[in-house]
Order: sequence, then C-alpha cells, then structure tokens
Amino acid sequence: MIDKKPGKDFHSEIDEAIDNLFIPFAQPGEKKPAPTAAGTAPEDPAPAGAVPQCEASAAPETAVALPQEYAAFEEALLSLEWEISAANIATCRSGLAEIQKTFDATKSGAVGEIFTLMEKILEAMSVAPQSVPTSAPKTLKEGLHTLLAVARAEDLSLLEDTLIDPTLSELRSAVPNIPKDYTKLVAAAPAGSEAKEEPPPPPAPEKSRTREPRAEAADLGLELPAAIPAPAPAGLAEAVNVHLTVLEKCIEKRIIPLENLFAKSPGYEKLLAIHVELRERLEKERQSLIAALAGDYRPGTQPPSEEAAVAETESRPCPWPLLATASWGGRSVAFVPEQIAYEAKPPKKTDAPFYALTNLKKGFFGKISPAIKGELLRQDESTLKALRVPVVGPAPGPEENTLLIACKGNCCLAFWLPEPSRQIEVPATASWTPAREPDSLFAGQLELGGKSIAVITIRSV
Amino acid sequence: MQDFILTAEILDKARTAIESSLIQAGVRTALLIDGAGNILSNCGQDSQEIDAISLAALAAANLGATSQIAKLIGEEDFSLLFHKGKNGNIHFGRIGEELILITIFGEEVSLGLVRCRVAELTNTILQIFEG
Amino acid sequence: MALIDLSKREVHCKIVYYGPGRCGKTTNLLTVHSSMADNTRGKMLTIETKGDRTLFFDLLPLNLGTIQGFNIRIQLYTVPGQVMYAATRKLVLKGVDGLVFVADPLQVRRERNIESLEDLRKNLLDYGLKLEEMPLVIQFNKRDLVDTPIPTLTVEELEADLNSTLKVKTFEASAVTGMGVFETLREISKLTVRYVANKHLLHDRK
Repeated sequence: MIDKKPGKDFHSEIDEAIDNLFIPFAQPGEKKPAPTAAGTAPEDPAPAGAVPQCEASAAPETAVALPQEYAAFEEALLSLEWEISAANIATCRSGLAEIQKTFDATKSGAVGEIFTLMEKILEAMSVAPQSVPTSAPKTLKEGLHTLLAVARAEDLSLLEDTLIDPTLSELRSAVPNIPKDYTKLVAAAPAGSEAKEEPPPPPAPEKSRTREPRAEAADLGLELPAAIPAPAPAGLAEAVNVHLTVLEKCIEKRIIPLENLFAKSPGYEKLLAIHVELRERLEKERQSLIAALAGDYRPGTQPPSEEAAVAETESRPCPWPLLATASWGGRSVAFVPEQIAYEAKPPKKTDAPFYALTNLKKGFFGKISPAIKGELLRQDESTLKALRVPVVGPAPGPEENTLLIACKGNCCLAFWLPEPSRQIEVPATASWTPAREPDSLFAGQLELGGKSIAVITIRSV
Repeated sequence: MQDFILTAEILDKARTAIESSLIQAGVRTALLIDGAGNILSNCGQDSQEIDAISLAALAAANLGATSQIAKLIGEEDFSLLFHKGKNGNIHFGRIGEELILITIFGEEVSLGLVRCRVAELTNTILQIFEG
Repeated sequence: MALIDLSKREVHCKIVYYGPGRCGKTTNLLTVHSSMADNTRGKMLTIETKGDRTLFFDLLPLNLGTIQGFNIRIQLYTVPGQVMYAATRKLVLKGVDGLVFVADPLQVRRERNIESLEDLRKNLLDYGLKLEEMPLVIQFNKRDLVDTPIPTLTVEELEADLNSTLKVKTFEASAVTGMGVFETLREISKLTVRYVANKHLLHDRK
C-alpha cells in the first residue's frame, strides 16, 4: 500500500512537512500576533459563504380554485411527489378516474389518450417505480392542468398544438418502454410500410393525430398509390382472412411464449397479467371476425407472396422526386431528404456502435436542437440529450468524417460518409425496383444513368 | 467503530452504482460520505462546484443532530430527511450504520422517485461495502 | 477513524479541539485560518449562532502536501464547549485521530476544565477509544491574562489538575494573539499523522 522505507524516514518526513507547513507563521517561543484574530476573535464574522442559506419554501402553486375532482387529484399528486407508495398511487388512480367521469368522451380523442397515458404512468409506478423517469409526477401534474384547460376550453382546436400535443408527447416519454410516437404509428399503419397489395384493414379507431394524414404519408416516404381502390367485398373477405392468419401466428408465436416466460419468472406477475389480458382480447377479436366472415372464413389463408407484390409494384416510378445521394461503405446509396435529421462533420467523431446526440452540442452549454432538423426536432432537449443513435456499418474509417443521421418516427440510424450527400432530382424515366424484404434497410434500387443506387429509408418500428 | 480501508475497486463500484441510478435519472449531485463527514464519492454535474468538504461535515452533523432530535421525541431515527429550496432540494439517507448518501436535485425531479431510487441504491451500496 | 482514500491516495486526519465552554477553541482555529496561505488551508466553516459560542462545530481543512506518495489532509474541528451540547460534542468526536485539550486558566473555570477532560474521556470510551492511547496535547490558553488583575491558575496548578497522570506535552498559548497556537498545532499534527500512518500505512498492510 505504501512504498518501503517505513519507520524513521517516514516519520521525519512527516515532521518536516508539518514544520514546513506551520513554521513560516510562528517561531517557537516567539509572540507573534496573528493579523486578524487579534483581540476580538470570537466576534470575527465567519466567512459568509460557509453558512448555508435557508431558502424560503416554494410559493404556493395554484392560486385559482380548482373544481373538486381536480383539487382532489392534485392533492393526491402532491402526496405521490412526496412518497411513491401503493396507497398514494391508488388515490391518484381513483382521482384520475373521477376526473375522467366528468369528461364528455366525444370531446377529443387526444383527451382520452391523456387519460390512458396518465393511467399507464401510474401503473408503471406501482409495478416498477425505478423504471419511471424522476420527472413523472411533474408530468402527471402537467397532464392534470391540460385536462383542466380542456375542460374549460370552448374551442379545442386552439389548444391542440399549444397544449395537448406537447402534453401528450411529455406523457408518452414518461411512460417506460412505450414507443414515443405511439399514436402516430397507429395512424400511419394503414398506409402500410410494407408495400403489400392488400387493401388496408378497416382503419383503427382514429386517434388524435388525424390532422395531416397526407403529410404523414408523404414523410413516411413510401410508395403510396395515388388512389387506394375501394375494397370490394371479396377483397375484404380475403384481407380479413389474411389478417386472421397473421393474428393467429402472432398469438401463437409471440404472445404465448412470452406469457410462458413471464409465468416462470418471479417479479413479472404484472407483465404476465397484461399479456394474458392482451391475448384474451385478441382471441375475442379473432372469434368475432370469424363470426362476421361466416361462410367466407378460410383458415390458413396465406398473405399474397412477396413476388406477387413485387410484380405489382415493379412498374411504378420511384416514389421520391428528390433524393440525397452519397457513397456509403463503397456503394452508391441515396437517402430521403425529409428523413435527414443531421448531416455535417460533427464536433466529435467516435467509433462507438452508438452515436450519442450530446456529441453534437457546441460547447458545454450548447444545445442539440439547433444542430438538427426534421422530425427529430419534435423531441425536447432532455430527450435528445439522452438519445444514442445506432451506427449502421463498421466503425468509421479515417476519411469518413461526415455524419448523417436519418430519422423516421421513433427510429433513427446514423451513417458515416466520406463526403456529404448530393441532392438529385429523380427523372420520371428512372427505373425503380422496390426491395423484396420489407424489413431491410433498403427500400429499393434506382437505376440512374447506368448506375444502380440503393435507396435507404428509415421505417418507424 | 471500524476503520475503513477503502480500495479503489469498492469506490469505483459505488460510484458506478450511484451514477447509473441517480445521476442518469437527473439528480444533480450525489455525495457518499461517512458518519464523520469524510467524502467517499462525489458524483454529478455540480460536484466540482459545491464545497463538498463543508457540505459533508455539515450533513454528518445534521444527521447526528436530527437523530438526537428523534430520540428526544421517542423515535429511534427519522426515516426522511429532506430540505426543499426554490430551485434545489437536498435529501439525506443513511446507508447502514456508517454511511450517508446526500442527493441534490432540482425542481423537475420528484422526491418520491428519488427516495425510491435511494432506497434501492442503499442496498446495492451496502452489498458493495460489505463485499 | 482516519479515512484513507486509496483511489486518490489521500489520508485524512481528524484533529479535534476539546475543552470547556469559552476556553478559546474557535479562536485557535480562526488564528490558524487567518495566518495560513490560501493554498494550504481550506475554507473555514463555522456555524454562526447567536453569541460567540459554537453550537455545532467549526471545521478547518488543511493540506499537508504529499508524503511518500500520499496526499495528507488534516481537518481541524472544534466542539461546542457548553455542557448542554453534550450530544453534538460527542458526535464531533466520531472518527477522531488526534486531540487538543484547551484549558481555561481562569480560577473560576478550574472545575470546568476537569469536568471537560472527564467528559472527553467518557465520550471516547463510548467510541471504544482510550484517551491515554490517543495522540493528545494540552494547551494552557489565555496566558495573556496572567498580567491582568483577573485571577488565573498557574501552569503548575493546571498541570496538577489535568496532566498529572496523562503526562502529555503542554503548551502555553494565547489564541487571541497567536502565541503558542502553531506550536500546539505542529505537535499534535505530528503525533496524529504518525499515529494514523503507523496504524494504516506501515503496519496495517491489508
């Protein structure tokens, strides 16, 4: 633990150090008045900075009287803020339910989601408080204030952008393990990220985000036929049969194995219950679909083969009029410009498999948001700070200094490029071949001037 | 009272546990000290700015004083020691007989959840120190 | 209990100034604080209370520098002298490595000195420490009062009262003028750092 030479040497070294420390200030036996301590030392004020300041308690937060249900819930939230206990969570949940009763369910779909998300946060708190962000009680309080504003508002459309949307996104990010843009995915799903030819199933009950379906489809960046043919009854039956097959597979291959796993793992009782409930609901759904199909039910209907899908789409023009081309990993690729969230030589180059967005900050106090664009800007700064984007491909070589981050929905990928991308206009004559595997990174191949360019698109998961 | 012989390994483990549990959850500073006011670990964004030596000495004394207050009203010790400020809050937690964990956090962080995490971390740190 | 921080190779030694109320413990620390260079002393921490008494404690951290690769830090503490602050006084003794007993020479405080030393002995025992085995020096403070009409105890009387069995080094001092303050501190620092070093660094090689 210490170098050799114990004993005398060490002791004399100690003595010497102590003498050196103190000797300059007082010679043995010599009366030397201390400069400031003389006389009235006890009255000497202590260094002011050393005395901890007592802060006055925070100002009361709500001055305006709240309706009774809201006041009760707010009080429950205060208790929760103080202590996460089963009793406090239960009070909050019942308080939330009381408020929900006062709501007209038709007022706005988004309001329903606020309730669902708040309930989910409370649920997560009761199951695994460690998984909930520490700001969750505050977020719940914001939810409450939004609900109050909605209850008092005459015209909801005014609130939607300024209050409801931000609240929803905050609530979503406070729910552990739920994709951030949950509703958007639901809304986007019918447009089909997989270029299959079957018509969309009856749209899921529309959630809040129905304002700009066209824009969403467009920035989904996928082949959206100019007009989706209205589903003929025969086609519908076919589609429902396919849906049933997928549903059965999903229950059998995904949900039941997980259920079995949770059943075996202590501490996962709650998740097990959630899965059992999910499976039961899906099975009920399946039964009612079968009943509705009646004679048209054909078990085991396979989805149309991929080749057929490709054949169907092969003649289509390239879905994007503009693309950003670059060379990546030795091949020619193209990105969808709307999906590019960042492209520049970043302040910090790393060869980690994940690129932390905090590396994009300029200086210690800098922010990330000025550096990025597109959909990623919808995330707040604290979320951005925590984001680590997976880097596709091997660690960057010495020439690969340009970082391109492409994002769509809740999915982001980073690419190291040797040179910044170039925007090109895709001529209508260019030949476009969609990719066969819908899950791959590539949406398809573009043949342009004798060159084959692989188009990379990000699909939200 | 036992003398502490701290190894770098124990301190590293404790620091990692504190960082992953508290600092990543948005806590500004976490100080692990002993009952005599010595600093064992100092983590977080403000850790270099605050006068940790004074803070540790005062915190140790504060806990000692509060536990005396507890005894005066017939309690063994208080389970919650927390001071609330306008922008900053401080929470003190005992870890076993000898250690104290001081947590400093802002307005956006909920005390309840800090307490949850501190409770969990307490067990982890005890295990680290007891080997 | 000395803290040895192996990750930073730091040794912390805790020296406590003990003694009856108003004997000048805080004044000792203030004198040290005001006379030392900024780079060797830390920030003096006192908790201001009404009047000039120490309610909690005072703390002055000093940096001794590096010896054989270890950075040695000394922390000087005072205890509240008044009898009624027994609990805090005991608390400050927690983890003590060295002691300065500051004696008050006023005739009227004679009993207080003896009581305080007994109190120290008892408090240490509660922590499993024996006064006789601890690094200890005694300071006879307020020697500047000897030349005034105020009745004071002689050094012989103080020796007989406090040091007849302990037989530790004593220092005459006047904390308000600075006389003897550094001599006391120098001696106790040497004793304490050696004590800690012997205990942890030289023999206790775990």
